[in-house]
Amino acid sequence: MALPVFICDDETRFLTYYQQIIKNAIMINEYDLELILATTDPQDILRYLDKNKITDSLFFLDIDLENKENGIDLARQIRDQNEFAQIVFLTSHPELALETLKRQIAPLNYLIKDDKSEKIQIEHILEQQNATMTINRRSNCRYLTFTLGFRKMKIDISGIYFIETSVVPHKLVLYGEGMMFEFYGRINDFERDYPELLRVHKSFLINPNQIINIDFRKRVINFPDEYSCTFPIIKTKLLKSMM
Amino acid sequence: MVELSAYAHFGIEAVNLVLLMIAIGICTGNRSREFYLIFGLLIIPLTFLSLTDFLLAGIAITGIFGLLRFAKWRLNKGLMINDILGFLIALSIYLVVTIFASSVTIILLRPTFNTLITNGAVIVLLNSLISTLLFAGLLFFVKKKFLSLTIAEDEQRIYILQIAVFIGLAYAFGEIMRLQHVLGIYIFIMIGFLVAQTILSVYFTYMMVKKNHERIELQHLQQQIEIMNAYTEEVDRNYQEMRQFRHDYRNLLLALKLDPSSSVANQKYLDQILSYSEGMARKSVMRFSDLSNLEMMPLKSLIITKLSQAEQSGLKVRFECLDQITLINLAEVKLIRVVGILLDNAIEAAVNSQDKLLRILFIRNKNNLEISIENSFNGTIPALSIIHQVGFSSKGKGRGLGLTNVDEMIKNETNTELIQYVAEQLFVASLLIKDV
Repeated sequence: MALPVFICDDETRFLTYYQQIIKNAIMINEYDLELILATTDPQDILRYLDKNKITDSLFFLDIDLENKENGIDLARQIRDQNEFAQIVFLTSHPELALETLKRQIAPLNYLIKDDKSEKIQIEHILEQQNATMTINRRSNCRYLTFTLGFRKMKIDISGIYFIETSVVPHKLVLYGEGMMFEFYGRINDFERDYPELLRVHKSFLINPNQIINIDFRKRVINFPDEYSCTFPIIKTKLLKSMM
Repeated sequence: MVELSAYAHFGIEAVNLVLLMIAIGICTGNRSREFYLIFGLLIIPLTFLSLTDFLLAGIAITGIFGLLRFAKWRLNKGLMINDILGFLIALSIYLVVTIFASSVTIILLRPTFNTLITNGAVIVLLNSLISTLLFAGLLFFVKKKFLSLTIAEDEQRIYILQIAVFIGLAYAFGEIMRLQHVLGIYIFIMIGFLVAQTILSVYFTYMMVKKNHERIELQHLQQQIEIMNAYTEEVDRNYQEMRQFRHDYRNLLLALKLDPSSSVANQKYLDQILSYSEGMARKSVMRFSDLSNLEMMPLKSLIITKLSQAEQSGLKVRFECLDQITLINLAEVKLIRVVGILLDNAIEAAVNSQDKLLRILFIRNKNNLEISIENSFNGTIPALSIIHQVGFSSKGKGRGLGLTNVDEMIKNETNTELIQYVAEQLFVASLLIKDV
């Protein structure tokens, strides 16, 4: 099933311009994508979504619409209905990029209109989407998912150092490259769902690929950024066999 | 006086000491093998000592514990206080159990007094069983209730003092009663009295400490209010000055305009300058236009204060509030305190960072409100479990009640949650408040 693509921009010249870029790119490279709708009216898109259930999808939305609320509103509604939709914002005022929107809508990208590199950026996005389509079908386990507050987070497993049980009951803490998250979860569930991670302690689930070194005397495993965790004697053999 | 064979005595006391060793291990969270090994080896000599002179044995045990852990204590003073507290708790359990177990055994078996009991095995077994059960029971109770609490260091010292007094008195009374040959029920009463008194005083201390915390929090809140008032006055003053300035400036420009010797071109420029200055002056001192969307007055004043504080400290500040916020489903007082603490922490961290970024976002989602406070930071953030501990502060002793207080305040609110994480080189503290 081809990934559906939508465009919405209230200025026709931009609309036709983007339409052309996208159609050409898909045809020339034989991407597994399909341009479903290109319209100046946000309502068109909403009506289509009402009638058709879609999950994975790609939207190019102009947020400088006449009535500014429309662009953001449309994005919000799409995001509300569909957490897997990829949204790309088109704007002539990048300085107005709002953090709130990034949080609520999690757009894929902000593209600046009237910029020389527009075409290349759009083509790049299409190429990426095409690539993810094939990869997603193959394996599920490259991402670790959890719920943080009210949002679902997807983290690339390769960047994780380890997960530990938090002092706050029922919560876990995840440490990784430039990140740290505390969320509700059970460590046993994560151990079961992600076999790439190693349970070296009642409270620690580690990513062996991020180990810097292991001190077997003090029974401490060292990770980047001065993070570390301990392990009991029983696991010594397991860790040694892995080295 | 129940007379037992030497072996029986030895057996009872040895079991008690083994239980004491285990108790010490559990109460101090001790994991080092050397401690168990050395103490284990010394059990036999200690038992002999204990049979001859109970008090001396107590001193010896304390000394041994101190020596074994001394090296670790030199490195970490906090650990020392923690260890001593655990050790004293274990020792008090040992004392109480020793007395009670033997009394219970006597009551149950009713052995004949003052004749040598040759078949002491039954007594030893029963005594050991009761001791073990009591030990396990008390340890379980202590572990569950007390060892999971985080207690600040100075509070720990107070508790140590009280428990040490209890142990001291227990040993003292024990010696006196032994020398005076006081037996039976009197021992029971004495120990019972001491235990009751210690529990009472510990409880009172705990209540006092709690009250103290609340008092400090109230002080903080009052300080915040004073700062807010000061800032509002300042803002007002600025505004007045701006008005005065605009007035004078305008007059000067008009005077220039009316000057008959000025050319047409100059007139045009003067008009431009006039309209420009009008536009500038009309903007309020509050540059953050989104603030008008925040319609909760006390929260607004707090945010204004903190934003100005942040800018004055040289931070790059960003405030976003896209939707109108009129009601928040959290008691005003708590909301202000929590947001205040989070902002203070964020500002402090950002000031010490390279990027000096601070962001405050009010995000209205479908059925909740998210107040997100983000700041850049320097170096690595310590693990969340550490920064939430009472008494933790990178700014020195006597501070660091902030996040613990936040935890306290929201732990009873079912519709409020605090999540913290690090992403894109910013530390984010997000307060999630569910709508009604």
